[in-house]
Amino acid sequence: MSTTTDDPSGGVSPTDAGHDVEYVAKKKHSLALRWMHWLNFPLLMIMMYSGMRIYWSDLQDPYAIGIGGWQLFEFWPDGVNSALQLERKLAKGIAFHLNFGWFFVLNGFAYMIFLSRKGEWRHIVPDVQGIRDARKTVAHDLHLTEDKPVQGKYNPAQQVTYTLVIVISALLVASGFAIYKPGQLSWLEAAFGGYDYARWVHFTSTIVLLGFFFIHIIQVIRAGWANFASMITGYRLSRRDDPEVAPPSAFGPDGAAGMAGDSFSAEEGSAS
Amino acid sequence: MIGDAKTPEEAGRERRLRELTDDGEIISKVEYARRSRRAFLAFGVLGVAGYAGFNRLQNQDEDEGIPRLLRAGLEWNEKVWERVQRDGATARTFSITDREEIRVNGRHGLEDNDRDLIGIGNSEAANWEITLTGRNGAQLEPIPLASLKSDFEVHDMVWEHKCVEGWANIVHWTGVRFSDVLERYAPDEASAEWMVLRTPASADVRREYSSAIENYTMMHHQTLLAWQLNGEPLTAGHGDPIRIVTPFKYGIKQLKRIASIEFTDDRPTDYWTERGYDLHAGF
Repeated sequence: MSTTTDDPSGGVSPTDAGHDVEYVAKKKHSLALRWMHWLNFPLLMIMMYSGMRIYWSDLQDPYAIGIGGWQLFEFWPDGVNSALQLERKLAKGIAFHLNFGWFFVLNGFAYMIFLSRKGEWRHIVPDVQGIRDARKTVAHDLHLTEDKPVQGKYNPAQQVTYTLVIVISALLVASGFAIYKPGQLSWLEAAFGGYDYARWVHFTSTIVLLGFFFIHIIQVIRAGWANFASMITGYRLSRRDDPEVAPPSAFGPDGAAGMAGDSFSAEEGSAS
Repeated sequence: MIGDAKTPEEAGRERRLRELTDDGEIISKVEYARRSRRAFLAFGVLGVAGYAGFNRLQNQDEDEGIPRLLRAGLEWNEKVWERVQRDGATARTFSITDREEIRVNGRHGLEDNDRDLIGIGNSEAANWEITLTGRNGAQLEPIPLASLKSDFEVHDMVWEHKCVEGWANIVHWTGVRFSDVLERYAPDEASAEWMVLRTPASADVRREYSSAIENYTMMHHQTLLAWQLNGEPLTAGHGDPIRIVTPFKYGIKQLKRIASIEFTDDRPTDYWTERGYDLHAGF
Protein backbone atom coordinates (compact mmCIF):
# COMPACT_ATOMS: atom_id res chain seq x y z
CA MET A 1 0.00 0.00 0.00
CA SER A 2 2.60 2.54 1.10
CA THR A 3 5.65 1.99 -1.05
CA THR A 4 5.18 2.48 -4.72
CA THR A 5 7.76 3.40 -7.26
CA ASP A 6 8.22 7.13 -7.36
CA ASP A 7 7.18 7.53 -10.96
CA PRO A 8 3.93 5.73 -11.94
CA SER A 9 5.19 5.20 -15.45
CA GLY A 10 8.30 3.69 -13.88
CA GLY A 11 10.44 5.19 -16.56
CA VAL A 12 9.19 2.35 -18.69
CA SER A 13 9.62 2.86 -22.37
CA PRO A 14 10.59 0.48 -25.10
CA THR A 15 13.75 2.41 -25.91
CA ASP A 16 15.59 2.03 -22.61
CA ALA A 17 14.43 -1.59 -22.08
CA GLY A 18 15.99 -4.69 -23.56
CA HIS A 19 19.13 -5.29 -21.55
CA ASP A 20 17.36 -4.34 -18.32
CA VAL A 21 15.79 -7.47 -16.74
CA GLU A 22 14.30 -5.69 -13.74
CA TYR A 23 10.71 -6.66 -12.92
CA VAL A 24 7.83 -4.42 -12.01
CA ALA A 25 4.17 -5.15 -11.31
CA LYS A 26 1.19 -3.32 -12.71
CA LYS A 27 -2.26 -3.26 -11.13
CA LYS A 28 -4.61 -5.28 -13.29
CA HIS A 29 -7.65 -6.43 -11.32
CA SER A 30 -9.28 -4.46 -8.52
CA LEU A 31 -10.12 -6.10 -5.22
CA ALA A 32 -13.85 -5.97 -6.01
CA LEU A 33 -13.32 -7.68 -9.34
CA ARG A 34 -11.23 -10.44 -7.75
CA TRP A 35 -13.85 -11.07 -5.06
CA MET A 36 -16.67 -11.25 -7.61
CA HIS A 37 -14.62 -13.46 -9.92
CA TRP A 38 -13.67 -16.02 -7.28
CA LEU A 39 -17.09 -16.09 -5.59
CA ASN A 40 -18.55 -17.40 -8.83
CA PHE A 41 -16.52 -20.56 -8.52
CA PRO A 42 -17.93 -22.00 -5.26
CA LEU A 43 -21.37 -20.52 -5.97
CA LEU A 44 -21.66 -22.14 -9.39
CA MET A 45 -20.26 -25.40 -8.01
CA ILE A 46 -23.00 -25.44 -5.35
CA MET A 47 -25.66 -24.36 -7.86
CA MET A 48 -24.67 -27.01 -10.38
CA TYR A 49 -24.38 -29.77 -7.80
CA SER A 50 -27.74 -28.97 -6.19
CA GLY A 51 -29.24 -28.36 -9.62
CA MET A 52 -28.14 -31.80 -10.77
CA ARG A 53 -29.87 -33.32 -7.76
CA ILE A 54 -33.07 -31.56 -8.81
CA TYR A 55 -32.63 -32.52 -12.43
CA TRP A 56 -31.89 -36.12 -11.57
CA SER A 57 -35.09 -36.56 -9.54
CA ASP A 58 -37.02 -36.92 -12.79
CA LEU A 59 -35.44 -39.93 -14.42
CA GLN A 60 -38.09 -40.39 -17.07
CA ASP A 61 -37.30 -37.45 -19.30
CA PRO A 62 -33.56 -36.73 -19.41
CA TYR A 63 -32.06 -34.21 -21.80
CA ALA A 64 -29.73 -35.76 -24.33
CA ILE A 65 -27.34 -34.78 -27.07
CA GLY A 66 -28.08 -36.40 -30.40
CA ILE A 67 -29.56 -36.02 -33.85
CA GLY A 68 -32.92 -37.55 -34.73
CA GLY A 69 -33.09 -41.06 -33.31
CA TRP A 70 -29.36 -41.29 -32.79
CA GLN A 71 -28.21 -40.29 -29.35
CA LEU A 72 -24.68 -39.47 -28.30
CA PHE A 73 -25.40 -39.52 -24.58
CA GLU A 74 -27.96 -38.54 -22.01
CA PHE A 75 -27.31 -36.03 -19.26
CA TRP A 76 -25.73 -37.32 -17.30
CA PRO A 77 -23.93 -40.51 -18.20
CA ASP A 78 -24.47 -43.03 -15.38
CA GLY A 79 -20.86 -42.81 -14.23
CA VAL A 80 -21.24 -39.09 -13.48
CA ASN A 81 -24.35 -39.58 -11.39
CA SER A 82 -22.98 -42.40 -9.32
CA ALA A 83 -19.63 -40.66 -8.84
CA LEU A 84 -21.43 -37.57 -7.49
CA GLN A 85 -23.86 -39.63 -5.36
CA LEU A 86 -26.80 -37.62 -6.57
CA GLU A 87 -29.59 -40.10 -5.98
CA ARG A 88 -32.63 -39.39 -3.83
CA LYS A 89 -31.64 -36.03 -2.45
CA LEU A 90 -34.19 -33.79 -4.13
CA ALA A 91 -35.23 -31.95 -0.93
CA LYS A 92 -31.64 -31.01 -0.11
CA GLY A 93 -30.99 -30.13 -3.72
CA ILE A 94 -33.88 -27.66 -3.68
CA ALA A 95 -32.88 -26.25 -0.29
CA PHE A 96 -29.32 -25.50 -1.44
CA HIS A 97 -30.37 -24.28 -4.88
CA LEU A 98 -33.01 -21.81 -3.66
CA ASN A 99 -30.77 -20.43 -0.92
CA PHE A 100 -27.45 -20.12 -2.71
CA GLY A 101 -29.07 -18.87 -5.91
CA TRP A 102 -29.58 -15.50 -4.22
CA PHE A 103 -25.84 -15.12 -3.68
CA PHE A 104 -25.19 -15.71 -7.38
CA VAL A 105 -27.85 -13.09 -8.18
CA LEU A 106 -26.33 -10.61 -5.71
CA ASN A 107 -22.85 -11.23 -7.09
CA GLY A 108 -24.22 -10.62 -10.58
CA PHE A 109 -25.84 -7.35 -9.48
CA ALA A 110 -22.62 -6.19 -7.87
CA TYR A 111 -20.79 -7.02 -11.09
CA MET A 112 -23.31 -5.06 -13.18
CA ILE A 113 -22.75 -2.03 -10.96
CA PHE A 114 -18.99 -2.57 -11.20
CA LEU A 115 -19.15 -2.75 -15.01
CA SER A 116 -21.26 0.37 -15.41
CA ARG A 117 -19.09 2.38 -13.02
CA LYS A 118 -16.28 4.33 -14.70
CA GLY A 119 -16.86 2.52 -17.97
CA GLU A 120 -15.46 -0.81 -16.81
CA TRP A 121 -17.74 -2.47 -19.35
CA ARG A 122 -15.50 -1.11 -22.11
CA HIS A 123 -12.83 -3.63 -21.12
CA ILE A 124 -15.27 -6.48 -21.60
CA VAL A 125 -17.70 -5.55 -24.38
CA PRO A 126 -16.01 -5.69 -27.80
CA ASP A 127 -16.61 -3.06 -30.46
CA VAL A 128 -17.37 -4.07 -34.05
CA GLN A 129 -13.69 -4.40 -34.86
CA GLY A 130 -13.23 -6.49 -31.73
CA ILE A 131 -15.96 -8.89 -32.84
CA ARG A 132 -14.21 -9.22 -36.22
CA ASP A 133 -10.84 -9.74 -34.57
CA ALA A 134 -12.04 -12.48 -32.20
CA ARG A 135 -11.67 -15.09 -34.94
CA LYS A 136 -8.06 -14.03 -35.49
CA THR A 137 -7.26 -14.45 -31.79
CA VAL A 138 -8.62 -17.98 -31.89
CA ALA A 139 -6.61 -18.74 -35.04
CA HIS A 140 -3.52 -17.30 -33.39
CA ASP A 141 -4.05 -19.33 -30.21
CA LEU A 142 -4.38 -22.47 -32.35
CA HIS A 143 -1.07 -21.57 -34.04
CA LEU A 144 -2.79 -21.20 -37.41
CA THR A 145 -1.50 -17.68 -37.92
CA GLU A 146 1.18 -15.35 -36.60
CA ASP A 147 -1.24 -12.49 -36.91
CA LYS A 148 -2.31 -11.35 -33.43
CA PRO A 149 -4.95 -8.65 -33.22
CA VAL A 150 -4.31 -5.61 -31.03
CA GLN A 151 -6.02 -5.54 -27.67
CA GLY A 152 -6.65 -3.62 -24.49
CA LYS A 153 -7.01 -5.35 -21.13
CA TYR A 154 -8.53 -8.43 -22.76
CA ASN A 155 -8.00 -9.81 -26.25
CA PRO A 156 -10.95 -9.78 -28.69
CA ALA A 157 -11.75 -13.47 -28.15
CA GLN A 158 -11.78 -12.92 -24.40
CA GLN A 159 -14.06 -9.93 -24.86
CA VAL A 160 -16.54 -11.88 -26.97
CA THR A 161 -16.42 -14.87 -24.62
CA TYR A 162 -16.77 -12.86 -21.41
CA THR A 163 -19.63 -10.84 -22.89
CA LEU A 164 -21.40 -14.06 -23.86
CA VAL A 165 -20.78 -15.47 -20.39
CA ILE A 166 -22.50 -12.43 -18.89
CA VAL A 167 -25.46 -12.79 -21.27
CA ILE A 168 -25.71 -16.52 -20.58
CA SER A 169 -25.52 -15.96 -16.83
CA ALA A 170 -28.37 -13.46 -17.14
CA LEU A 171 -30.37 -16.04 -19.12
CA LEU A 172 -29.54 -18.63 -16.49
CA VAL A 173 -30.89 -16.42 -13.71
CA ALA A 174 -33.95 -15.27 -15.68
CA SER A 175 -34.91 -18.81 -16.71
CA GLY A 176 -34.29 -19.91 -13.12
CA PHE A 177 -36.81 -17.37 -11.85
CA ALA A 178 -39.27 -18.41 -14.58
CA ILE A 179 -39.06 -22.00 -13.34
CA TYR A 180 -39.11 -20.95 -9.69
CA LYS A 181 -42.15 -18.63 -9.84
CA PRO A 182 -44.16 -19.33 -13.01
CA GLY A 183 -47.32 -18.15 -11.20
CA GLN A 184 -46.27 -14.78 -9.82
CA LEU A 185 -43.82 -14.23 -12.68
CA SER A 186 -46.02 -15.75 -15.37
CA TRP A 187 -44.87 -13.01 -17.80
CA LEU A 188 -41.32 -14.30 -17.42
CA GLU A 189 -42.42 -17.89 -17.99
CA ALA A 190 -44.27 -16.69 -21.11
CA ALA A 191 -41.18 -14.79 -22.29
CA PHE A 192 -39.31 -18.08 -22.45
CA GLY A 193 -42.17 -19.66 -24.38
CA GLY A 194 -43.42 -21.69 -21.44
CA TYR A 195 -42.19 -23.80 -18.58
CA ASP A 196 -40.56 -26.56 -20.62
CA TYR A 197 -38.56 -24.08 -22.71
CA ALA A 198 -37.50 -22.17 -19.60
CA ARG A 199 -36.19 -25.44 -18.18
CA TRP A 200 -34.37 -26.16 -21.43
CA VAL A 201 -32.77 -22.70 -21.45
CA HIS A 202 -31.79 -23.11 -17.79
CA PHE A 203 -30.20 -26.48 -18.46
CA THR A 204 -28.52 -25.49 -21.71
CA SER A 205 -27.02 -22.30 -20.31
CA THR A 206 -25.61 -24.35 -17.46
CA ILE A 207 -23.95 -26.74 -19.90
CA VAL A 208 -22.56 -23.81 -21.90
CA LEU A 209 -21.18 -22.20 -18.72
CA LEU A 210 -19.63 -25.51 -17.75
CA GLY A 211 -18.03 -25.70 -21.20
CA PHE A 212 -16.71 -22.16 -20.74
CA PHE A 213 -15.30 -23.16 -17.36
CA PHE A 214 -13.15 -25.93 -18.86
CA ILE A 215 -11.92 -23.76 -21.76
CA HIS A 216 -11.19 -21.02 -19.23
CA ILE A 217 -9.02 -23.40 -17.17
CA ILE A 218 -7.08 -24.45 -20.27
CA GLN A 219 -6.54 -20.84 -21.33
CA VAL A 220 -5.44 -19.82 -17.84
CA ILE A 221 -2.88 -22.63 -17.82
CA ARG A 222 -1.68 -21.54 -21.29
CA ALA A 223 -1.41 -17.92 -20.21
CA GLY A 224 0.95 -18.83 -17.43
CA TRP A 225 1.55 -18.15 -13.76
CA ALA A 226 1.88 -14.36 -13.83
CA ASN A 227 -1.55 -14.08 -15.41
CA PHE A 228 -3.14 -16.52 -12.94
CA ALA A 229 -1.48 -14.84 -9.96
CA SER A 230 -2.80 -11.45 -11.09
CA MET A 231 -6.35 -12.68 -10.43
CA ILE A 232 -5.33 -13.33 -6.82
CA THR A 233 -2.85 -10.51 -6.12
CA GLY A 234 -4.38 -7.92 -8.42
CA TYR A 235 -0.95 -7.17 -9.92
CA ARG A 236 0.68 -8.52 -13.01
CA LEU A 237 4.43 -9.06 -12.60
CA SER A 238 6.28 -8.29 -15.81
CA ARG A 239 9.71 -7.43 -17.08
CA ARG A 240 10.19 -3.71 -17.34
CA ASP A 241 10.35 -4.05 -21.11
CA ASP A 242 7.13 -6.08 -21.36
CA PRO A 243 4.30 -4.34 -23.25
CA GLU A 244 2.08 -5.23 -20.26
CA VAL A 245 3.63 -2.40 -18.27
CA ALA A 246 4.23 0.04 -21.09
CA PRO A 247 2.20 3.24 -21.18
CA PRO A 248 -0.42 3.51 -23.97
CA SER A 249 1.70 6.09 -25.77
CA ALA A 250 4.28 3.37 -26.46
CA PHE A 251 1.77 1.42 -28.55
CA GLY A 252 0.82 3.94 -31.14
CA PRO A 253 0.84 7.54 -32.19
CA ASP A 254 -1.81 9.84 -30.94
CA GLY A 255 -4.84 10.70 -33.08
CA ALA A 256 -3.98 12.22 -36.46
CA ALA A 257 -0.31 11.33 -36.21
CA GLY A 258 -1.30 7.69 -36.28
CA MET A 259 -3.24 8.12 -39.50
CA ALA A 260 -0.22 9.59 -41.24
CA GLY A 261 1.75 6.43 -40.63
CA ASP A 262 5.20 8.03 -40.98
CA SER A 263 6.46 7.55 -37.45
CA PHE A 264 5.12 4.03 -37.46
CA SER A 265 7.09 2.66 -40.38
CA ALA A 266 10.30 4.07 -38.94
CA GLU A 267 9.93 1.98 -35.79
CA GLU A 268 8.29 -1.07 -37.28
CA GLY A 269 11.37 -3.12 -36.59
CA SER A 270 10.96 -2.87 -32.85
CA ALA A 271 7.33 -3.96 -33.03
CA SER A 272 8.17 -7.60 -33.74
CA MET B 1 6.40 1.33 -31.28
CA ILE B 2 5.68 -1.89 -29.37
CA GLY B 3 2.68 -4.19 -29.36
CA ASP B 4 0.96 -6.31 -31.96
CA ALA B 5 -0.02 -3.62 -34.46
CA LYS B 6 1.09 -4.00 -38.07
CA THR B 7 -0.41 -0.87 -39.54
CA PRO B 8 -0.63 2.69 -38.29
CA GLU B 9 -4.40 2.31 -37.95
CA GLU B 10 -3.91 -0.75 -35.73
CA ALA B 11 -1.30 1.08 -33.69
CA GLY B 12 -3.69 3.95 -33.10
CA ARG B 13 -6.39 1.48 -32.15
CA GLU B 14 -4.07 -0.38 -29.81
CA ARG B 15 -3.13 2.84 -28.11
CA ARG B 16 -6.76 3.80 -27.63
CA LEU B 17 -7.58 0.35 -26.22
CA ARG B 18 -4.61 0.59 -23.85
CA GLU B 19 -5.63 4.06 -22.77
CA LEU B 20 -8.99 2.67 -21.69
CA THR B 21 -7.26 0.40 -19.22
CA ASP B 22 -4.27 2.44 -18.25
CA ASP B 23 -5.31 3.12 -14.67
CA GLY B 24 -2.98 0.48 -13.27
CA GLU B 25 -0.59 1.56 -10.56
CA ILE B 26 2.98 0.27 -11.05
CA ILE B 27 4.87 -1.10 -8.05
CA SER B 28 8.35 -2.52 -7.54
CA LYS B 29 9.10 -6.21 -7.49
CA VAL B 30 9.78 -6.05 -3.74
CA GLU B 31 6.47 -4.39 -3.04
CA TYR B 32 4.78 -6.90 -5.36
CA ALA B 33 6.30 -9.78 -3.38
CA ARG B 34 4.95 -8.31 -0.16
CA ARG B 35 1.42 -7.74 -1.49
CA SER B 36 1.47 -11.02 -3.31
CA ARG B 37 2.27 -12.96 -0.12
CA ARG B 38 -0.55 -11.20 1.66
CA ALA B 39 -3.01 -11.81 -1.18
CA PHE B 40 -2.17 -15.51 -1.50
CA LEU B 41 -2.41 -15.93 2.25
CA ALA B 42 -5.82 -14.25 2.32
CA PHE B 43 -6.92 -16.31 -0.68
CA GLY B 44 -5.87 -19.53 1.04
CA VAL B 45 -7.44 -18.62 4.36
CA LEU B 46 -10.72 -17.57 2.73
CA GLY B 47 -10.76 -20.72 0.62
CA VAL B 48 -10.25 -22.99 3.61
CA ALA B 49 -12.74 -21.00 5.70
CA GLY B 50 -15.32 -21.18 2.93
CA TYR B 51 -14.86 -24.91 2.58
CA ALA B 52 -15.07 -25.42 6.35
CA GLY B 53 -18.16 -23.21 6.54
CA PHE B 54 -19.87 -25.17 3.79
CA ASN B 55 -19.06 -28.46 5.51
CA ARG B 56 -20.44 -27.09 8.74
CA LEU B 57 -23.61 -26.04 6.98
CA GLN B 58 -24.02 -29.49 5.48
CA ASN B 59 -23.59 -31.17 8.88
CA GLN B 60 -25.65 -28.64 10.80
CA ASP B 61 -28.55 -29.83 12.97
CA GLU B 62 -31.54 -30.40 10.78
CA ASP B 63 -34.90 -28.70 10.93
CA GLU B 64 -37.38 -31.10 9.32
CA GLY B 65 -34.89 -32.89 7.09
CA ILE B 66 -32.61 -30.03 5.98
CA PRO B 67 -29.94 -27.95 7.77
CA ARG B 68 -31.50 -25.31 10.04
CA LEU B 69 -30.01 -22.40 8.14
CA LEU B 70 -31.40 -23.65 4.84
CA ARG B 71 -34.85 -24.09 6.41
CA ALA B 72 -34.62 -20.48 7.65
CA GLY B 73 -33.65 -19.45 4.13
CA LEU B 74 -36.66 -21.20 2.61
CA GLU B 75 -38.93 -19.41 5.09
CA TRP B 76 -37.28 -16.12 4.18
CA ASN B 77 -37.93 -16.90 0.49
CA GLU B 78 -41.55 -17.51 1.37
CA LYS B 79 -41.84 -14.05 2.95
CA VAL B 80 -40.19 -12.40 -0.06
CA TRP B 81 -42.59 -14.00 -2.53
CA GLU B 82 -45.60 -13.38 -0.35
CA ARG B 83 -44.90 -9.69 -0.84
CA VAL B 84 -44.72 -10.14 -4.59
CA GLN B 85 -48.02 -12.03 -4.65
CA ARG B 86 -50.58 -9.64 -6.00
CA ASP B 87 -54.29 -10.28 -5.49
CA GLY B 88 -54.87 -10.22 -9.20
CA ALA B 89 -52.16 -12.76 -10.08
CA THR B 90 -53.62 -15.35 -12.41
CA ALA B 91 -51.79 -18.41 -13.63
CA ARG B 92 -51.52 -19.08 -17.35
CA THR B 93 -54.40 -21.16 -18.72
CA PHE B 94 -54.68 -23.21 -21.88
CA SER B 95 -57.31 -24.49 -24.25
CA ILE B 96 -58.94 -27.85 -23.48
CA THR B 97 -57.48 -29.23 -26.70
CA ASP B 98 -53.98 -28.68 -25.27
CA ARG B 99 -54.56 -31.15 -22.45
CA GLU B 100 -52.16 -34.04 -22.01
CA GLU B 101 -52.07 -37.40 -20.27
CA ILE B 102 -50.64 -37.22 -16.78
CA ARG B 103 -49.06 -40.04 -14.85
CA VAL B 104 -49.87 -41.07 -11.30
CA ASN B 105 -46.79 -40.01 -9.36
CA GLY B 106 -47.60 -39.83 -5.65
CA ARG B 107 -49.70 -42.56 -4.05
CA HIS B 108 -49.32 -41.37 -0.46
CA GLY B 109 -52.51 -41.71 1.51
CA LEU B 110 -54.10 -43.79 -1.26
CA GLU B 111 -52.44 -47.16 -0.60
CA ASP B 112 -53.26 -49.98 1.77
CA ASN B 113 -50.57 -51.74 3.76
CA ASP B 114 -49.85 -54.05 0.81
CA ARG B 115 -49.17 -50.95 -1.28
CA ASP B 116 -52.24 -51.51 -3.43
CA LEU B 117 -54.37 -48.51 -4.33
CA ILE B 118 -57.53 -48.32 -2.26
CA GLY B 119 -60.59 -47.95 -4.46
CA ILE B 120 -63.59 -45.89 -3.44
CA GLY B 121 -66.88 -47.64 -4.15
CA ASN B 122 -69.95 -45.81 -5.46
CA SER B 123 -71.79 -45.94 -2.16
CA GLU B 124 -68.74 -44.73 -0.28
CA ALA B 125 -68.36 -41.88 -2.73
CA ALA B 126 -72.04 -41.01 -2.46
CA ASN B 127 -71.66 -40.58 1.30
CA TRP B 128 -68.24 -38.89 1.16
CA GLU B 129 -67.82 -35.87 3.41
CA ILE B 130 -64.96 -33.50 4.06
CA THR B 131 -64.81 -32.89 7.79
CA LEU B 132 -63.81 -29.42 8.97
CA THR B 133 -61.99 -28.45 12.16
CA GLY B 134 -62.20 -24.78 13.10
CA ARG B 135 -59.46 -22.62 14.57
CA ASN B 136 -60.92 -23.15 18.03
CA GLY B 137 -60.66 -26.92 17.60
CA ALA B 138 -64.42 -27.42 17.17
CA GLN B 139 -65.82 -29.76 14.53
CA LEU B 140 -67.78 -27.77 11.98
CA GLU B 141 -70.54 -28.89 9.66
CA PRO B 142 -68.87 -31.24 7.13
CA ILE B 143 -69.04 -30.67 3.38
CA PRO B 144 -70.92 -33.49 1.61
CA LEU B 145 -69.49 -34.41 -1.79
CA ALA B 146 -73.01 -34.41 -3.22
CA SER B 147 -73.42 -30.79 -2.18
CA LEU B 148 -70.11 -29.84 -3.83
CA LYS B 149 -71.31 -31.26 -7.12
CA SER B 150 -74.79 -29.73 -7.06
CA ASP B 151 -74.77 -26.51 -5.04
CA PHE B 152 -71.96 -24.48 -6.65
CA GLU B 153 -70.94 -23.14 -9.98
CA VAL B 154 -68.84 -25.78 -11.76
CA HIS B 155 -65.62 -24.61 -13.44
CA ASP B 156 -63.46 -26.21 -16.10
CA MET B 157 -59.90 -25.01 -15.91
CA VAL B 158 -56.86 -25.99 -17.95
CA TRP B 159 -53.41 -25.22 -16.69
CA GLU B 160 -49.94 -26.72 -16.47
CA HIS B 161 -49.59 -29.08 -13.55
CA LYS B 162 -45.99 -28.96 -12.33
CA CYS B 163 -44.15 -31.59 -10.37
CA VAL B 164 -41.40 -30.71 -7.91
CA GLU B 165 -39.29 -33.30 -9.78
CA GLY B 166 -39.30 -31.09 -12.85
CA TRP B 167 -41.86 -32.54 -15.24
CA ALA B 168 -45.08 -30.75 -16.18
CA ASN B 169 -48.29 -31.55 -18.05
CA ILE B 170 -51.18 -29.44 -19.22
CA VAL B 171 -54.30 -30.86 -17.60
CA HIS B 172 -57.99 -30.09 -17.51
CA TRP B 173 -59.76 -30.05 -14.16
CA THR B 174 -63.47 -29.91 -13.41
CA GLY B 175 -64.63 -28.78 -9.99
CA VAL B 176 -65.81 -25.92 -7.81
CA ARG B 177 -63.93 -23.00 -6.31
CA PHE B 178 -62.76 -23.75 -2.80
CA SER B 179 -63.50 -20.14 -1.84
CA ASP B 180 -67.16 -20.51 -2.94
CA VAL B 181 -67.53 -23.65 -0.84
CA LEU B 182 -65.91 -22.14 2.24
CA GLU B 183 -68.12 -19.08 1.94
CA ARG B 184 -71.11 -21.38 2.36
CA TYR B 185 -69.83 -23.94 4.87
CA ALA B 186 -67.37 -22.12 7.12
CA PRO B 187 -67.26 -18.39 6.36
CA ASP B 188 -65.69 -17.68 9.77
CA GLU B 189 -62.65 -19.74 8.80
CA ALA B 190 -62.08 -17.93 5.49
CA SER B 191 -59.53 -15.73 7.27
CA ALA B 192 -57.52 -18.65 8.72
CA GLU B 193 -53.85 -18.18 7.83
CA TRP B 194 -53.34 -21.86 7.06
CA MET B 195 -55.49 -24.73 5.91
CA VAL B 196 -54.24 -28.29 6.41
CA LEU B 197 -55.73 -30.93 4.14
CA ARG B 198 -55.55 -34.62 5.02
CA THR B 199 -56.29 -38.01 3.46
CA PRO B 200 -58.49 -40.48 5.38
CA ALA B 201 -57.11 -41.38 8.80
CA SER B 202 -57.20 -45.13 9.03
CA ALA B 203 -55.00 -48.04 10.09
CA ASP B 204 -55.66 -49.49 6.65
CA VAL B 205 -53.90 -46.58 4.94
CA ARG B 206 -50.17 -47.15 4.53
CA ARG B 207 -48.95 -43.55 4.83
CA GLU B 208 -51.45 -40.87 5.73
CA TYR B 209 -50.78 -37.77 3.71
CA SER B 210 -51.18 -34.10 4.54
CA SER B 211 -50.68 -30.77 2.82
CA ALA B 212 -50.70 -27.31 4.44
CA ILE B 213 -51.52 -24.37 2.18
CA GLU B 214 -51.62 -20.69 3.09
CA ASN B 215 -54.79 -18.61 2.93
CA TYR B 216 -54.15 -16.63 -0.25
CA THR B 217 -53.60 -19.73 -2.34
CA MET B 218 -56.54 -21.66 -0.90
CA MET B 219 -58.86 -18.69 -1.45
CA HIS B 220 -57.54 -18.00 -4.96
CA HIS B 221 -60.08 -18.11 -7.78
CA GLN B 222 -58.04 -20.77 -9.58
CA THR B 223 -58.04 -23.15 -6.61
CA LEU B 224 -60.61 -25.88 -7.09
CA LEU B 225 -62.05 -28.88 -5.33
CA ALA B 226 -62.00 -31.14 -8.39
CA TRP B 227 -63.63 -34.47 -9.20
CA GLN B 228 -62.73 -34.77 -12.88
CA LEU B 229 -59.37 -34.91 -14.64
CA ASN B 230 -59.30 -34.45 -18.42
CA GLY B 231 -63.05 -34.92 -18.54
CA GLU B 232 -63.05 -38.26 -16.69
CA PRO B 233 -63.92 -38.97 -13.05
CA LEU B 234 -60.81 -39.08 -10.89
CA THR B 235 -59.24 -42.54 -10.67
CA ALA B 236 -58.04 -43.88 -7.32
CA GLY B 237 -54.44 -42.92 -8.23
CA HIS B 238 -55.43 -39.35 -9.03
CA GLY B 239 -57.41 -38.86 -5.83
CA ASP B 240 -60.94 -40.24 -6.23
CA PRO B 241 -63.42 -38.92 -5.15
CA ILE B 242 -62.32 -35.30 -4.51
CA ARG B 243 -58.97 -33.47 -4.47
CA ILE B 244 -57.57 -29.96 -4.31
CA VAL B 245 -55.93 -28.47 -7.41
CA THR B 246 -54.20 -25.12 -7.93
CA PRO B 247 -51.73 -23.82 -10.49
CA PHE B 248 -49.87 -22.02 -7.69
CA LYS B 249 -48.45 -25.11 -6.04
CA TYR B 250 -46.33 -28.09 -6.97
CA GLY B 251 -48.21 -31.39 -7.23
CA ILE B 252 -46.99 -32.45 -3.78
CA LYS B 253 -49.26 -29.82 -2.23
CA GLN B 254 -52.35 -30.72 -4.29
CA LEU B 255 -53.70 -33.33 -1.95
CA LYS B 256 -55.66 -36.24 -3.39
CA ARG B 257 -58.71 -37.81 -1.69
CA ILE B 258 -59.49 -35.07 0.84
CA ALA B 259 -61.05 -36.42 4.02
CA SER B 260 -60.55 -33.45 6.30
CA ILE B 261 -59.46 -29.83 6.44
CA GLU B 262 -58.17 -28.11 9.55
CA PHE B 263 -58.01 -24.32 9.86
CA THR B 264 -55.25 -22.71 11.89
CA ASP B 265 -53.37 -19.47 12.36
CA ASP B 266 -50.26 -21.23 13.63
CA ARG B 267 -47.65 -22.21 11.12
CA PRO B 268 -48.26 -25.92 10.52
CA THR B 269 -46.14 -28.61 8.92
CA ASP B 270 -47.10 -31.39 6.55
CA TYR B 271 -45.94 -34.69 5.07
CA TRP B 272 -43.24 -33.42 2.71
CA THR B 273 -42.20 -30.46 4.83
CA GLU B 274 -41.26 -32.95 7.55
CA ARG B 275 -39.08 -34.65 4.96
CA GLY B 276 -37.02 -31.63 3.99
CA TYR B 277 -39.22 -29.82 1.47
CA ASP B 278 -40.33 -26.22 1.48
CA LEU B 279 -43.67 -25.73 3.24
CA HIS B 280 -44.65 -23.10 0.68
CA ALA B 281 -43.60 -25.13 -2.40
CA GLY B 282 -45.50 -22.71 -4.58
CA PHE B 283 -45.21 -20.46 -7.57
